[in-house]
Amino acid sequence: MNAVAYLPILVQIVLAAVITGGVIAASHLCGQRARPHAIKDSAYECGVQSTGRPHIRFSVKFYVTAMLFILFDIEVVFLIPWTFVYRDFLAHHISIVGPMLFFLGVLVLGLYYEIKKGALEWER
Amino acid sequence: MTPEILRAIADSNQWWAIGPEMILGAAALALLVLEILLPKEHHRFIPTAAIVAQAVTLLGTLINFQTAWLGQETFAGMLRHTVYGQVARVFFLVSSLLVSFLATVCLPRTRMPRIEFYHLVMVVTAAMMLLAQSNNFVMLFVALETITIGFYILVSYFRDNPLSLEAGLKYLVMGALSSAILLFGIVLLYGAVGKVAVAGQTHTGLEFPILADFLRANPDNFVATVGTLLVLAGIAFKIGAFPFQIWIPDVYQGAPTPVTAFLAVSSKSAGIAVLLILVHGPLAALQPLLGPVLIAAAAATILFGNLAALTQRNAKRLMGLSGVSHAGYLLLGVAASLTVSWAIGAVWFYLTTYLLAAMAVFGVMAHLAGKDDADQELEGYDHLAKDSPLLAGVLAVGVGSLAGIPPLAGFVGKLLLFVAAFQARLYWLLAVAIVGVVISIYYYFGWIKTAWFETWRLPGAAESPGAHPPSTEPTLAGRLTLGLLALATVLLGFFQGPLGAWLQR
Repeated sequence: MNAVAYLPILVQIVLAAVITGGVIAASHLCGQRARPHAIKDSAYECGVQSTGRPHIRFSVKFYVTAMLFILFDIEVVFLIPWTFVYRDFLAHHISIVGPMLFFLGVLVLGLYYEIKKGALEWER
Repeated sequence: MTPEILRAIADSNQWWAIGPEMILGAAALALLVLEILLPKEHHRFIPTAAIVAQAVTLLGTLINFQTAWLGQETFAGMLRHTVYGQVARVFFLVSSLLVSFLATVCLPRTRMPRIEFYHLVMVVTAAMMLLAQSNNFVMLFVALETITIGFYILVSYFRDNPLSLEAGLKYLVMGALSSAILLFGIVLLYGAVGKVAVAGQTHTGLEFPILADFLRANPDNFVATVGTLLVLAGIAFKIGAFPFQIWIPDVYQGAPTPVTAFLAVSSKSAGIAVLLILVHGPLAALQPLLGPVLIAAAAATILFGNLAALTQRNAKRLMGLSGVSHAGYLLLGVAASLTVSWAIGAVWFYLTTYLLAAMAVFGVMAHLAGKDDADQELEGYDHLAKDSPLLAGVLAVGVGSLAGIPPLAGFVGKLLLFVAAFQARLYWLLAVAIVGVVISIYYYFGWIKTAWFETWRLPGAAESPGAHPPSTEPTLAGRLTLGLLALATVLLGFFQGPLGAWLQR
């Protein structure tokens, strides 16, 4: 195995750099540009001066919910490979239920903890 | 799959082989349950329960030091139990006990939740214990991620302190980057082993023994070389070795003092443990490549750490940057262990002395820290010998041991590493390391001087602004712990006991 075999990757990287740089340079050279003007550059919305922040701030509650969703979502992902091999193991009388029950127990404990800590109460 | 394979896989799940980790994890969960079930006024007993649980786990591990699984693989080759794995288990348990002790000093000063801290420390410690016994890149990565994610939370634990938040953000970005680099290296190694039409290829390139066989057959494989370098870079991030040490000062300063101690001692040791496993296991065949890389990294790390620490006036930054130089000495030991087999023991001995000395110093820092945990300037150590002779004494012993002053344990640790390097014929690296030690004496002794001797000032000049008596008087348990740490540091300098006998095997 030698480094020559990876030449296509190098070509790909060089191509990506050249095309990106070329497009930016071309738009700088050929693009239309007006002279900078305070009013022309100001934010414009249906002829009205825009008010407020451009980014809406979400309540932190959404993030907590999203994080909990991802947590339990990923934990369910761990169950899927187990269900695939479970039948195989069961057919040969090998029990693999215990560890998974322990895992589920930890999950339930986490859910209980989360409810007790009030993470699921929307109005506080 | 045939029934025999299935049965073999099921039989390899020896749950008692990971007993200490299971007990620690279960105890960590039990803490959270206790917090929910117990009424508020009993919550102050939970930290004690956490410390007792860790002490029991430590005792059990010590009693079962010679487990029945030594030298065996369990969990379908995921783990491999060795003597060094057992040493690592004991090491990480002692370290987490001391971190929990520091937390009992620091946490009551803030209004942050307490129980979760002990929970996280215990979970992270269990992951470190698994990491030091991993025998498969999947196990290694999962354990490493458990540690890293735990540290993301711990570093920014004092979330009302902007510096702690800054440290958390920096650690998050740098930790994610290093994990990505490590993972990319693992994938390249996996890809190299899995490539068809190369001798010794298989589809399961994540197991260490298979990887070792493959690299022995193809030591000059280009992809595997790049993968190895990336894996080393990822680990260098975790231990703070030279080109990847950039996050150390800010994160160490901003993190709460117990977490700084945890990062400095446990996290660094976990990285070194993994490095030892990799260098002597799967990557052993790449010695011609590993040797120069490790030597260059060790020399640069020693010099950078010591030179950067010279100008620091903040105790936590000083510990961080001098910790970088200690990582350099450890890398020197790892480089020497490629040819001198007993150097592995010397590395673990050095880690032990570092644990004792650094924890003693962090213990003093935890008692001295004021309201702002990140603001621990060296000026705050003025008059320490007058205000609190015990703390000043422990500080002198700890810092002296870190500097490697003869009667203390740190000297013996450094001596063993340097003798190993001498036997491995790493003369240039040895010279650099000795220069590093000489430089380090300047800033370490500056610290001791601040604590023990009057700073001369113009007559009539104002008192040093930072000087203040210890914000927390050490409790009886605190005095005992600090005293024992200092005593162990002194004793280990004279008498290495069973550790010395174990080294000579």
